[in-house]
Amino acid sequence: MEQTNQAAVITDSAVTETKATIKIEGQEFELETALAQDDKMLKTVLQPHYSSVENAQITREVKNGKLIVTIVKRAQHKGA
Amino acid sequence: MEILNSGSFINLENQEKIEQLKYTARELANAASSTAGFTNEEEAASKLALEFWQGLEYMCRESERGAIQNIFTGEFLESLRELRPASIVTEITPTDETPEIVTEQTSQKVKAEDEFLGVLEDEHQETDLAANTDSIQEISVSEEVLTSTKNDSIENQQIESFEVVENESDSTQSEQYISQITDTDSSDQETEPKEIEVAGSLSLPEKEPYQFDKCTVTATIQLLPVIENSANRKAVLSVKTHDFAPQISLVEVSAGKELTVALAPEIEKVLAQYKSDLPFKVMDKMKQEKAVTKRNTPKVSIETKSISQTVAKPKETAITPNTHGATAQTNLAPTPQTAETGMQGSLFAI
Repeated sequence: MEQTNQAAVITDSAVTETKATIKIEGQEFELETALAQDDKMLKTVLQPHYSSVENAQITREVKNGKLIVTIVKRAQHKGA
Repeated sequence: MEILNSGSFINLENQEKIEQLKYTARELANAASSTAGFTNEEEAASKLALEFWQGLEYMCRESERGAIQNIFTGEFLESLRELRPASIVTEITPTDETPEIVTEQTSQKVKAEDEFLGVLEDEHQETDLAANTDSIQEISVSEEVLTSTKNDSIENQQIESFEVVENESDSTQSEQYISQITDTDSSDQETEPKEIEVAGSLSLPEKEPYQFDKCTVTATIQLLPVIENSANRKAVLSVKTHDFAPQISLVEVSAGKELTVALAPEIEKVLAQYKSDLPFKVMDKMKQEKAVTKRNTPKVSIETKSISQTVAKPKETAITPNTHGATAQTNLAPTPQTAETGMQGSLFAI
């Protein structure tokens, strides 16, 4: 069974903040919410700096109106 | 030596035939020069040589044809030149001031023609010779031949130096000129390593400092597709140095403008912001590193505490007899226990 990269968006409230928090490879930084909402867009934006984002698992949650995106690198085959 | 008959076979391996060919060329040249109405000029001579070659219809291998033709025409032109130079030099040099220089240069010119059968160069030289009777101009023409491979600056220097030669008409000046050329050549050779040095200075240090101007800054521009019925185009500008998280910003530029022009101020703004934020990023990183080192160090401090406690305990036991008025240990100096630390106490106890 094929595993999907995209995790369900947990929304306890609507996103009100213009900036989202991205958590990837032990780093945390701010990004425009517009860029963080869509997986494809997020991958395109982060690809130059984090090559692992291509096959990573993306999880979204909203806390106090702020979108928090957690990107977890998935283990790949050797040589990938 | 016999003249080679027309239509005879010539091959390069047969030296005798080649010598005969040369002899034939010389004889034809002598005959041509002695005929009335023949103008002994380079262009006419080369044309005549070709006509002779075609008329003689020598047989030779296709691969050797060019070389054999060159031998024939070269020999023909050479023998004509031998007959020619005295009259031309006298025409060129009406004054007795610079005959040596001119003859030297004409001989160099002849050598160049021999090597390449210089048809084109000769045309230029002949036309210049006919047009200019002045000795300065003659020298400049031969100078062009000599310095065809030099750059413009060197050529200027050469012209200047020849003006000096003309004015002073001294052979030492020509020597100076030659030394100038060699100097300029050597200076050119010196400049090459400098360029290499400049190119070599692009190497990056293994560990770059955390300063905007002294580290590699990676800036990425991503132009997002233009949305329909929108006059603007969105672009993502991201800046990053070291292993810090990138600073990504979304900007909007008017699609009608030239993109580079529209993006330039946005890029400047983003870079300036990153430059100002970089010290804070560095500070955060330092704090994180300190926190990590602190997490690792507590284990060591606990160990030292436990050691000090174990050492301190015997001290207490050693002191307690004093307080109880033991005879042997009462002579010991009174220890200022209140001011002592645990370590000092342990040292004294030992």
